[in-house]
Amino acid sequence: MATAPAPAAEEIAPATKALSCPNCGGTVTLRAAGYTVTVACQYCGSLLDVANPDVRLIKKYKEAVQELEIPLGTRGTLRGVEWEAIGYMRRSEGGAYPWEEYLLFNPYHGYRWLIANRGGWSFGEQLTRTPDWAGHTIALDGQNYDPFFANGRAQVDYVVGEFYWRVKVGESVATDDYVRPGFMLSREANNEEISWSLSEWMPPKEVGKAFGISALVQPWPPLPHQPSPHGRAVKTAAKIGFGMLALMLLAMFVFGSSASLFRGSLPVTLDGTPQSATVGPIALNRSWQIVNVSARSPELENGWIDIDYTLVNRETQVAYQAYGVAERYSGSDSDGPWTEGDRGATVKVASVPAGTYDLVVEYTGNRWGGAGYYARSEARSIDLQVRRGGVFISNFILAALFILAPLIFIAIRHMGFESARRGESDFASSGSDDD
Amino acid sequence: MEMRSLVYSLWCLGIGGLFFGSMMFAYSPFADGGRAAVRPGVYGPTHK
Repeated sequence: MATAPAPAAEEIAPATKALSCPNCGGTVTLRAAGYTVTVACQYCGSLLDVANPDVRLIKKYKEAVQELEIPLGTRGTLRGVEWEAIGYMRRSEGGAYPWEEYLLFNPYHGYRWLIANRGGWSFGEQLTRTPDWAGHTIALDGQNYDPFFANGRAQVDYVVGEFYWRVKVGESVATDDYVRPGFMLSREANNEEISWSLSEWMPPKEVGKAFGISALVQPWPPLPHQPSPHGRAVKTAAKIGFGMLALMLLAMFVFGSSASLFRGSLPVTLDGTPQSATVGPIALNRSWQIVNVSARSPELENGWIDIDYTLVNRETQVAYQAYGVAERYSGSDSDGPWTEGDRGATVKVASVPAGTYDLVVEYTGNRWGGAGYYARSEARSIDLQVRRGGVFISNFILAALFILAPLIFIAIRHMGFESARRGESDFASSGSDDD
Repeated sequence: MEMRSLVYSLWCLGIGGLFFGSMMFAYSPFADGGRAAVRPGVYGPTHK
């Protein structure tokens, strides 16, 4: 792109002009008469010099003019301004990676570019100022742009319509591109000038609606400056999800207190004899509560104690049951001494309503036969503690999994998008050493 | 707010509601014990 003239609003008079193509005789309409320098005939493709009153044939073509996705002369409103497509160029990197550029014109706002690349669209503007280097990035208007493509060579493969400079097929410029989400800063240079342009990614639907394009596709991999459609959703979901988790943790902290209701000791022997004890009364005054029963046999060695708990409501005789086991084994083998098991066991009984209860504890102490005849097996007592309240950590973990699963899913899609986008860059890190 | 953010908000509210409901009723699917099956309310010998 050459540097666009910057017409002042007061000096612009919207003007169209018709002229006759010296090659094919077709009527060529100039939509930006007074600014257009070159026009490619829309019938035969011949390039005409219209800078002077006498129209001069620059290059003669007899090719059929290709059908454009946005026919020249089409008007569409983008960013609140009505633009008219007056020129079209197809460009490429030496014939590869082709893209299209429509030159848009509005007599009061000048020129813009509508760039189509693999189905993605960008709305570009020629800059009249030069960006600054900021370390390894480029800065413009306080925003930093990361290098994306370097040392490219863009050539013109096809033109039709009118342009504000002498464009011709085959001319090429050196290009470098820098991006930030949603925007691309492009540098084009030839022997005569260096120009900068800033293009903004446009949602295909917006361009389609403006210019009546129906066949819209989403480019993949994404355009270099295409913002991730999941980026904002990830941020919002993270705020919502972690906010809810924080609320849950706060509730657990505030309402998770517990109170001791009973503490005592029960005798036990490891001879397989069923034993029983009743603890009570245990008064539960909350509407619903968790009842924790902890049993610990501090002297337990090479044996286990099966413990059945039955919490019985004195008034309704409704029973709540749980089972626990305390076990402890030790010995010595070729690797040295070993121990296994836990002398304590805690059970949590859920959803116990208010009332006065008795806790029936039925337990049987067993000696481990594998300990050997001379091994010590003993247990003297069980320390029992009953507490009301507390929280189920497992509930929180389950809720956290359900809350984080969609967030992780969106984050993975976001990372996949960003990885595909960055993978197109000349500065993408490569995992192979092929080159 | 995007539609999917709204859906996710509702999802979180639903999960949060279940969590706070389980706290209120002291319920957990992972509890070690709970209410026992109801036995017939008749005790003692049934011999005529």
